[in-house]
Amino acid sequence: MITLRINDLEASVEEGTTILEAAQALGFPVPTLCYMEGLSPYGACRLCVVEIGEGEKAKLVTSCTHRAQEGLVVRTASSRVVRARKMTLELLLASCPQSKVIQDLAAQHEIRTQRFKQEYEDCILCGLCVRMCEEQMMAKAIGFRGRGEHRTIGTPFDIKSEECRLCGGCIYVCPVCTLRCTYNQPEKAICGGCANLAPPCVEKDRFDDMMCYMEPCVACEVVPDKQPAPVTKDNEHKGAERHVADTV
Amino acid sequence: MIYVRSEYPLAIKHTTIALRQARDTGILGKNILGTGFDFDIQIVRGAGAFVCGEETALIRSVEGFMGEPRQRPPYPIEKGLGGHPTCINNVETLANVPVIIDEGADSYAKVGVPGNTGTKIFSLVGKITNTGLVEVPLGIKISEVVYDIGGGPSGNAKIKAVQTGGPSGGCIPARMFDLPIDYDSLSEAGSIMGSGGMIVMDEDTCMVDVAKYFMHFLKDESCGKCFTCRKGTQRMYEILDAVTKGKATFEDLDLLEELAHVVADTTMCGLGQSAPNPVLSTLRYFREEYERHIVEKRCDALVCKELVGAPCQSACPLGTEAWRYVAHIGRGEYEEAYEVIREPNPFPSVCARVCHHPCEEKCRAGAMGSGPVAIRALKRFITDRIEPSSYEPPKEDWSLGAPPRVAVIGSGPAGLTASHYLSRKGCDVTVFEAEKVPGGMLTCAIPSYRLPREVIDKEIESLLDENITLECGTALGRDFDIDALFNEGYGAVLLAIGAHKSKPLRLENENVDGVYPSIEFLKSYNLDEEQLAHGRVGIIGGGNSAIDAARMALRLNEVESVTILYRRTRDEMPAFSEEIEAADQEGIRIETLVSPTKIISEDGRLTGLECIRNELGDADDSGRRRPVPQEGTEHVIDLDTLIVAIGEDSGIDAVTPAKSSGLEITNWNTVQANPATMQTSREGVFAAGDVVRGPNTVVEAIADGKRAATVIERFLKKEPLLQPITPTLPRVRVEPVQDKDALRAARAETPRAPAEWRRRNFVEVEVTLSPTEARREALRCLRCDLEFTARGEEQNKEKEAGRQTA
Repeated sequence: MITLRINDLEASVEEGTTILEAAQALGFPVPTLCYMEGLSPYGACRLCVVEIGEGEKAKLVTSCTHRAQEGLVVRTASSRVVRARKMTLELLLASCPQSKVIQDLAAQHEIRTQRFKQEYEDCILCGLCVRMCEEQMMAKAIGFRGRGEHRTIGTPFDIKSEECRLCGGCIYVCPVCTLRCTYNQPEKAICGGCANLAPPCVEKDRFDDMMCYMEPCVACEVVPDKQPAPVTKDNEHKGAERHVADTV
Repeated sequence: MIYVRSEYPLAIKHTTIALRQARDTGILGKNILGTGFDFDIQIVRGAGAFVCGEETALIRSVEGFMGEPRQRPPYPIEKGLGGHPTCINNVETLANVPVIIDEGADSYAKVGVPGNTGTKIFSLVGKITNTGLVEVPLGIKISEVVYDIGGGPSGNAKIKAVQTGGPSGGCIPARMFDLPIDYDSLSEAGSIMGSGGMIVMDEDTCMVDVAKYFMHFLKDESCGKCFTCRKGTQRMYEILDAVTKGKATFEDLDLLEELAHVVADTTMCGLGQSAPNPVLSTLRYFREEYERHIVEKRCDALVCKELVGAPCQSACPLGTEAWRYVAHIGRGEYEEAYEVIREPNPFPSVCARVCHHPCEEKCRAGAMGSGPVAIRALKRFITDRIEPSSYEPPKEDWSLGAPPRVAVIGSGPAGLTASHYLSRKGCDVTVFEAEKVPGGMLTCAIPSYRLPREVIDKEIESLLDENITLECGTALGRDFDIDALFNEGYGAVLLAIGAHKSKPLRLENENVDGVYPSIEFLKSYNLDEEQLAHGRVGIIGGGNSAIDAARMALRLNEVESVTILYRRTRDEMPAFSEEIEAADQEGIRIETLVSPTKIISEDGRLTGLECIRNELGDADDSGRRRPVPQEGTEHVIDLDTLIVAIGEDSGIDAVTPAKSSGLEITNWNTVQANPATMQTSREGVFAAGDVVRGPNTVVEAIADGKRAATVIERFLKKEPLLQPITPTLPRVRVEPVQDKDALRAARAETPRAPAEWRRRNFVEVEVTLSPTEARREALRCLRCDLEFTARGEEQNKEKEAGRQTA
């Protein structure tokens, strides 16, 4: 057994346990996007960062990939952690504003707007689909290619993979709620809808008043708080503007 | 195993040869030297990714996977290549091993400084004389590497910063060059030792552009696994790009800094953690450059294309479209050329003679090696042909009722320029001048062999119109004060009294007969033809007024010889190089690396000057190496006249009346004014020219006068003084003339009268170009403007096409 301190609470965990698992066992919420039980941890989304160590040597690490060590001091919600997490969410929101999972996390962290140029990407490269395909479906049909801003996920040479069984596991795990297994023929997508099981409004008490026609999703958040700006920064997304204007 | 990127075939070739030789001699491979011990080295060619410098990514790459780092622990020393314990070091580090084995660890540790022992190899590149690989002991100062080994700047521009550690290193400014090169000092300064790259940057390098350049590289080289590294570098690039295009705001700058800190904090490997270094270090040391881009839409290094347009235009404080009049001269359109010259500049003939032509310093033809276009000579060519009175400035009536009265104190280039532009707006301007003639330094200080009096007179006359009243012989403090002006109903006051007081040497006997401050000396002859100098004349100083005083002294009747004494070397002299050259031609001796120590006099008359020799020491704040006196080298120079030209200010007598009217004065006897609004500490009182800046160039004074006119107009109309600025890019297209011979021609030398003849009279030294020379010179222009004007036309065409389709 290994003993460590998380947010000043002592915890004993089995060797090999990650900080994330330990924190969750103690009931400390740590947001994640690229972590899923049953898949190997990857550390891509950087949302689960926690602060370890003390004084000058304190640093942020991803709790999903960092193993618990004897005597380790962990803070899951220090100001440094929160600042980093908020900026990461803002970046996520700037890239994939249509993802309900991301909107939900942003709302939980009181982020109502983002300050970057608005993009509409359908992937945050969290790699859940790649690991799902390889580790649970034993297919290895898709993988990463390219680096930097040219990094994408797909089948080798973008041709239909012999390994793919059209299981849809990749779509099921996707937090950005778009299709992974469209090969090179997006129009023949096997799923047209959102496989996301946790829309943010379900947790609200005024659920009846907030139906899903709101666009972007957190538009509903804007009304009660009288927040002036929707998620979008510029006017590219005309739909968002109109809806918000109507509701206000 | 040696891991080399495939892009370095030469390194691979050399390593292969070395390994083969080692095997041939039997010190590598099976049964080394018959000991039964086997050891071999194998070369692994990497697919070439910056991130493979990260050890865990390198291992993945060797294993045949995508080069992507992973979380440590476990460290490679426990679990590395193929799951086995692996030791990874740089080839550079391993290359130290033979030396350590040969000479012993203690001997090796003597090199460098405690905590940072041994040597480091730097790749010294950039704007530096000696480039290449240098191996230096750790702990050496940056200045030693840059100046002693690197030989200082390669061009005329001063060195501004070095960037260490490769693309993800930070920039260290020149003022910190005393910093020792070791791991801790560099990291404290916001940089890294990294790959040992050392890029030297000079004043022609834009630090925002540098950060943008490295961020462009890093956003492509990030492996992309960590979201904050991949997107963070992209977003940082996006903001930097917006800054270089003048589209960013201060909020963007704050966001950039916030993001940079988070990227460094939340990424896993060294690439992401150090990627924000170029941004953070330039923000830390060169924030004012970012702010210049954002507020004033200006890139002072003239690098960022969207803000610069044509460099000649951007370099001109007046924004003169040099490219445009040069193009007109090439087409023989002289009237059009004059219009272009005159519109932004009420003193074109003056500037055609005495401007320090920053346009030529930045001319791209100069950067290409054939010498910059002789823009000033071309301006002279036009202004010599066209009368100033032929230009009729556009005039407006004051739009809000009765014309307001504005008092301008000082009739130098700043004061008269402001009066001219205010008059064009319909203001009623009174100019007060302390001397008996207008012109300020133009008439008082600049000798007539550089700027003939009739040229100034004609130009000033063309500016004085019915809206301007000139009152000469009326001095602030002596004849009136600022309170009285407001009581008399003036709506605004512009203080442009210049800097007419030479600084003293602060040596004993400075007030004996025969010692003169340079401005007093120049003024006495220029205004009253009084000849103060005689016999052997010495001049202390290396600026323009020193050269003016020297060349004027030489032309006086009773002068035998003239010697300039300067404390540093000729390279550091602040005077314009062509002035120094002309002084040389006329036979003036320039003695450098000497400082005066004692004025020697007899019966209240100067007889000589004791001087001490200097050597150049470390660089000072101005980036020039400071003179260090060498004891025991004192020597006496016999002199009959000594002229002190070590700088000017406005003088305590001149600024005291301003102070008593409630204006804040600096310790340097200049008036405190907001550089953006030009307003002094008293509302309605503005200040421009040398009285704010200290001694400066004519063109800066004119530019100040123009800006002052703009803000005074806004003040009188009760508009906000500060208004958004847009970059001035070339707008008007002038069709180019094709002439291949002209592009190959060398720069036209400005013709000068023969030195032997001119040194004894006050006739103008510089002569104008002939029409053939002027045309050929004009056609040498590379026409940087066309890129912008052509684009403008294309856009117009697109718009037109769009309209038609609609």
